[in-house]
Amino acid sequence: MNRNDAIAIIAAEAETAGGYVFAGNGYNARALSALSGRPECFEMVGSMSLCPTLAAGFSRFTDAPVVVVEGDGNALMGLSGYPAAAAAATGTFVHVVLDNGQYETTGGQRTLADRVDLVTIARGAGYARTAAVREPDELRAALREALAQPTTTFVHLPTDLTPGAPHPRVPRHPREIAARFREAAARA
Amino acid sequence: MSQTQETALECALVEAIAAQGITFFTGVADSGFKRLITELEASELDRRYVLATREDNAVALATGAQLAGQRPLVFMESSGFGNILDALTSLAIVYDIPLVLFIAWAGYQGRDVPHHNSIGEPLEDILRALDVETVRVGLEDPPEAIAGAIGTALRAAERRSRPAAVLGIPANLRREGDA
Repeated sequence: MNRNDAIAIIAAEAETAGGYVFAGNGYNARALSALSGRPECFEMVGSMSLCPTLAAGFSRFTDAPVVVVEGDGNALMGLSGYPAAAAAATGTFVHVVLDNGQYETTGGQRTLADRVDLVTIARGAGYARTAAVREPDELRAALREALAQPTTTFVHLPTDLTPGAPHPRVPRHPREIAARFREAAARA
Repeated sequence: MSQTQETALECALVEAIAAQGITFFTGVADSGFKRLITELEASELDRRYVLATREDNAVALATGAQLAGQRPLVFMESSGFGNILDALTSLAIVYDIPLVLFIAWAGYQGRDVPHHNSIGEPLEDILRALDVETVRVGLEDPPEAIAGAIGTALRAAERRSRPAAVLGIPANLRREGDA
């Protein structure tokens, strides 16, 4: 399973559950924009590592499920935010790490993810539930279960490199991403 | 004194800040926020207060809350300001997020220890260079004065759709004749 396969599944399951999706900067945000692009999607263009806490701050003030998708590079940079995200998240909060072992957006330099057990870190940081999945059906099942629980779930998913050209940059100024998202949240 | 009166007195600072429109508090501890944090812990704010682990995480939590319609306040010491430069520029500023930074200004006028002075002295200039409006107040000033400064910053933030900052000057660093 590659990034595009995973993000298509995540976006579809989140939409079915009436949830919001936040994607970390880089190719993950670009893929979310290209493969879903609903107003309930928030694509980060910068602030690497801050996606979980951003989403957790939002989750405190919505009754809907909130899903985070970030890569292993973002995850490793943002480990200090894991306890804060787990503590701040309210209701259904699902945090998915797509782990390709690379900083693919910057040219494929390796990360330290192969030395790190992110599931154990997430559990230690206070996530109520954790899951490690590999196949599309396992991801779907883990998401459906997590999206039905009023608590925090961390999901680790090793991914293959994604073939073909990356998706283009998010075709909206960040202020438009925020305005559109804010309006969608206010309508709900 | 009734328990209600006691609670009201204990939480005068948080209540004054809330009366200015702030609906969400997060941040990182500093000695200058002893009273604020004591009151936040004592207040029944429920979802409206949460601890952060680092200053940049606090800015991200606040930004998320703002997207849900809240008016956030992020407190931190100036020595942690360096941790938020990316969150400030590539998240709060570019996404047009009005939020208030309440910064305890260690190193004010270079009157502190060297590692506080080295960021404290240029702090206001750095904020100005980022086009973040600043308001000064004394950290030991009465609740109404502190809340008033935060209210001024909040209105500037909302008018300009970007962060604004309150710089809180520690009492021991203030001198007569300071601006």
